[in-house]
Amino acid sequence: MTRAGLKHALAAMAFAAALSPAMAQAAQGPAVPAGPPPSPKAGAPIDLTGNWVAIVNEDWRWRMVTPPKGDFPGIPLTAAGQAAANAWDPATDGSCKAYGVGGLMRMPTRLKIGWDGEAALKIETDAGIQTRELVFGRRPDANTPRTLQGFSVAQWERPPVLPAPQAAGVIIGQASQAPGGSLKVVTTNTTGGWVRKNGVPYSPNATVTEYFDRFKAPDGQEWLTVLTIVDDPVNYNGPFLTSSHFRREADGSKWRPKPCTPVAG
Amino acid sequence: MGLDLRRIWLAAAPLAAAALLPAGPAAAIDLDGYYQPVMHEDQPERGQGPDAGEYMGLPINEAMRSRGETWNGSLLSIPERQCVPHPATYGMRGVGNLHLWEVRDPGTQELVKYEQQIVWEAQHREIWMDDRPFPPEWALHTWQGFSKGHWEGDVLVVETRNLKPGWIRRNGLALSDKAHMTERYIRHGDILSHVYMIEDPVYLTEPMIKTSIFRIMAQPNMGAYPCRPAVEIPRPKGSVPHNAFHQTADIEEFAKRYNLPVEAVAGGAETAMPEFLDELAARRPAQATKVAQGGRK
Amino acid sequence: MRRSVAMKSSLLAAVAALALAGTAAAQPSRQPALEDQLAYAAQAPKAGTFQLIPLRVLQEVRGQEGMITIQNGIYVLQGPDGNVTVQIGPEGSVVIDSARKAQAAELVAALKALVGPHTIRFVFTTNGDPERAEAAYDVRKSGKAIFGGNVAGQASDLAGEAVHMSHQAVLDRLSGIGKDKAVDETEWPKETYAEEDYDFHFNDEGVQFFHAPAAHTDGDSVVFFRRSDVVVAGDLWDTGAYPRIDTAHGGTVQGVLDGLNHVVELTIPGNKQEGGTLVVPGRGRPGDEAEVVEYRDMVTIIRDRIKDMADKGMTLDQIKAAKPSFDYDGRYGSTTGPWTTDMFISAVYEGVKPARPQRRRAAR
Repeated sequence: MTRAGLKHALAAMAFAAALSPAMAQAAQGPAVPAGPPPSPKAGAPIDLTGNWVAIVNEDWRWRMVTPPKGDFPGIPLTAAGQAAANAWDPATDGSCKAYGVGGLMRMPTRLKIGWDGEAALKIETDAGIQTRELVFGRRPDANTPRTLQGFSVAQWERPPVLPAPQAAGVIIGQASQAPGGSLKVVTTNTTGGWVRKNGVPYSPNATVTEYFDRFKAPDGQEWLTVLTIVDDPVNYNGPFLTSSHFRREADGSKWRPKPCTPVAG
Repeated sequence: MGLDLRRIWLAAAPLAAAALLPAGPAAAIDLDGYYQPVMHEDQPERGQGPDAGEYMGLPINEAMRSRGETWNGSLLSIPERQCVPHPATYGMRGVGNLHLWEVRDPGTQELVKYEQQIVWEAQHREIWMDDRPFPPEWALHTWQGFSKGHWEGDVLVVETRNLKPGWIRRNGLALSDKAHMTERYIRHGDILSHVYMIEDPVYLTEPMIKTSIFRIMAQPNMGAYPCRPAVEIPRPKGSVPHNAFHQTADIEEFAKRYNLPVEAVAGGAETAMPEFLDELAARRPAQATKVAQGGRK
Repeated sequence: MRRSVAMKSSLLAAVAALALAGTAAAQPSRQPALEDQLAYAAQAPKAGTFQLIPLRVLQEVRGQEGMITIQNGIYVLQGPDGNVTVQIGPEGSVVIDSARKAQAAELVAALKALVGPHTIRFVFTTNGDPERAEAAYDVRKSGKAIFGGNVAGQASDLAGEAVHMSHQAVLDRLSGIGKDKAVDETEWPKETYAEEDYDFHFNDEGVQFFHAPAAHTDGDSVVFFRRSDVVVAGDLWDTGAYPRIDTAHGGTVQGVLDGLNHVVELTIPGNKQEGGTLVVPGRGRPGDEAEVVEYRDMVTIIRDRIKDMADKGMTLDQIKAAKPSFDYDGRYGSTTGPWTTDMFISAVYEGVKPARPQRRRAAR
């Protein structure tokens, strides 16, 4: 390449670099912001707040009614877990043990999700009249009490940052953040409970990991899916995975609280 | 020396164009891999198969219910039906490991499509990522349909049309060839959630949503699946095994076995709602085990 | 033998583009893969109200300064009143069915653009609908038979048009044997077959015609292009409606089912039960075995239901009130138009109702 040609090429690269970032950014999403991170509420990549109703078309026979004792196909129970499930007393049907964090999102229920300050999401259910607090930026410690809903640590998960576009080896744009994301929630410090109404147990040592995703369907309806992973070496041979669907409702007019039977002791 | 802007522009144009031209849809995450279905939900239905007459929670209309009542499992034994694979509207719900891989143009490295294969009946799909148009309605309809994908953040969203008349459950709950499907492939760590939504103006009262969960596999375990039909049961030519019109025995038997009201077993969008619990409380244990005929809801 | 022709019409150019798309990445004469068919089907052009569907593109295409070489292919012109299937090859073209008289001029124009120099040699009518025959007249007039032999001197008037063929029952129906003739003599088919089947070899493939007695009418034929692996089902199959059973002209539900079962016998599905033998319906979109099976099952089930009801002594009105087809009505039913659900149920009933007991003669 001649010197003149080299000059032209360098100038062209400079021109292209100057020209393209804004357009590249427009094409790929917002640039990764600089400075201190916003609060979890202000920086939420998706909006989970509002009224939601469970659509129960999976595991219907184990969610809409209390199944018979010993009816737990599909759950990877250990021998100890099976023994505990088979020891269930049908007289305890309706116990709040079925409404703990391990089973609550599987209930035929409505949800009210809202912010409790800048760094906690609150989920209320009319089934069993339960409240969950999903806390950002804090972790349980030795003094954290065990409860039916446990201690839930929340964090936003965002799509990977897309690398800056390049041309001929020259960076000509900015790294950008793809839209969307999901909420990851890890819950410990529970008192244990049941994943099904017929006493299929999870222990106080269980860890419940959830992913909340939201999307709009082709017909315009808004949906929330919750992937629930229950890890409990005492009762399960491996992670127990379920996914629950909720459809957004305009308001809370169909909210009908129904209490569960408090756990004795 | 002054800059020759015209020459600069001419030289810069290809670079600028290279920067601005879409280099194919950016795959925000890597979906490539082998996956094993996790059947912790609906396990009996997805494993050995659903009971005949088991429709709870599904947004089916009267016509689809009647299709289900008419369906007889012997239908699968006629040679024309023996090797039919699951359609795209059911395949991810069934058994069999899943292989998902991307295909890039070797020249441009643009993402052209994803392909996927499920072991059972070698269900093979292509998900076009190059924004090619959907074929018209009159083009050949297939079991796997024609699928187009795009990324929404780190979620692969897939639309499928041009499907053959298929099903949503292996007990005769039929879909028409007017059905179409929207899927979302969501990866969380080693878990792949496949959220799918089916709309069918002929047989569904509202979109049906379900999620199938897969876990990435350490060791691939895929196999071929040859199938050649044979006459398993000699029958008169043209025989089509089916139940009698308004044969509700399957629904009633299922209701009786599980102590459920027939109104619940017969399905419908309302049976998936929390307020249906009131209906269940009022009617369970099921005493009336006969399905009323004609507008029985 | 191959013929080189210049691309003259835009329609033919589009067909060539389709063929090229189908063969560019494939071996010569290899059928395009199913996904390719689906992908480039979207580019298929329209010719007036007729939609061109390149069903089996078997052409070998070589670009030579605007020249194309055509080996063989099956096309469908999908019109509002029925499908027209066209086999194009070096010996000329074969046209199966001809829509209706109202679209005849438009169809002739579309066919001319499609077949180009591959003159229409045969026009075949798959049933005895008078309107089909009337439209076939215009199509055959646009073609030219391969004519000669020891009758040439006596029948030279036939040399200037394509041969119009059908089953003998169609000619009987149209010529009104024993009744008033349905169409003018000039519109009658000129060659017929009266047996169960008939065949000839044309454009490097065997073409078979099978009589489907007492189906849509009493003169239905199913046509099978053996090398192209395409079956033309005629009015036995309508992807958008229940089968039209013209009981006034010899049609019966059992004949329709026998015909559909025969189509299923002729078809062999492709890999993973997709494609393979393709089937052209009388109306609607082409499909493969599975879709014919679905349709056959539907007609069988409704037939069985109506027969059960009739055997129990229910009247036609009672049967209609019981809605024996209601679970399929959302897909195939209609309350308006030339063929309603009500008419279909009546026609099925006609074929399954119990025979009236013979009255005993009064003793003298």
